[in-house]
Amino acid sequence: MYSSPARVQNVFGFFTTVTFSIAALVALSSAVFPANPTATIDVREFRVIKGRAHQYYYSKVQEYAFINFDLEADLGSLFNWNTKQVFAYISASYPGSPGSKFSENEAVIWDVILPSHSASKLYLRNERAKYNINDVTGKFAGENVTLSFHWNVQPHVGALKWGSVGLSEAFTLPPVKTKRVKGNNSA
Amino acid sequence: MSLLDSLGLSELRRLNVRQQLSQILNFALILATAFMLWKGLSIATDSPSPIVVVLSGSMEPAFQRGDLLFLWNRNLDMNKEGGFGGTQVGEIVVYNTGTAIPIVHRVVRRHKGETTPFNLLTKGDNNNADDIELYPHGQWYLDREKEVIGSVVGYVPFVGYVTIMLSEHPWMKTALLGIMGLLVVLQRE
Repeated sequence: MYSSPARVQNVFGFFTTVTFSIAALVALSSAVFPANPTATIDVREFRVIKGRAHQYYYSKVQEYAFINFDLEADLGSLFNWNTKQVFAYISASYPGSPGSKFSENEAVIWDVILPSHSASKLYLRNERAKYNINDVTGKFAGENVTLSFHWNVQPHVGALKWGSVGLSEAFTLPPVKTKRVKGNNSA
Repeated sequence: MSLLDSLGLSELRRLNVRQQLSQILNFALILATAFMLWKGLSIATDSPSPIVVVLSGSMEPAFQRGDLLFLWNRNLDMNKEGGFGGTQVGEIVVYNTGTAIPIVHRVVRRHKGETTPFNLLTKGDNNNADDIELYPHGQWYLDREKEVIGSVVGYVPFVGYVTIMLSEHPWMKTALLGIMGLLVVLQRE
């Protein structure tokens, strides 16, 4: 009972018990902090362009939506001692075109990782979307698109949290403007 | 009983049959309990692998190598009244498309209809491009039902790192087994 291996085992057992108890308390404490972030989004510009994504080994000509937006957000209340980072993102959601079998569509057009409280205020004017989205069918058919702002809290330990605030007015994607491609006469 | 002597296990003879059987039973009980816990969690979460270890840095700084993730896979919600709409963009899913290791990445697009397939596009936070090149050749989307094994709901840092060390440095496995064997021998005295 008092041999060295038994002592090592006891010390290690005590260490893990204490560590996991503290981790559990920290994880539970996240629920105490109220999360009430605010955000407003306004759509500034949107157009649809026919093009080709070049980063893939295989690409086909599809329609891409280009969206510019204004964003004002305050995510300060999401930062507490158990916040490792906040992932903030804007998604565009739209119903499918009448012939499509996909009736719910949503795509992230912009995102940012906020590492600390000092980065928790966002103020963007006429910002270009980071990701120019294309539809699963390859084209947009005058869909009504709505932008919304979301956040995801990544804790140091415990449960991940998601939420959504701020919805833009719905806007209709205009018909395609064909991009002039080198050696191609389609205008 | 010369076999036990030649194997160097003559000490076993000191225990009677009843004690030996009880020890075997205890050992079996430990194994069965661990197995039941794992399978029980698997049924509760509807995931073949409800706890995974992060193996790459493509989701940094959210997840580092060795972090432990808890998954939930009851959020497919196909054709279900009162469901929550299934997997949303911004969720982090673990998927397996026949590659050697499962991949943990964030959902950046979802296309859902009345019937399957429920299509997802994923991207690692730390990667510049989305995951189309990680999917099998010619495939543009993930199938939520067939290829995703769960969405990340819980996080514990670093605890899974020991499994990475064991699989990357095989001598550690030998060392670990040796230490355990040594402890068993020492404890008998």
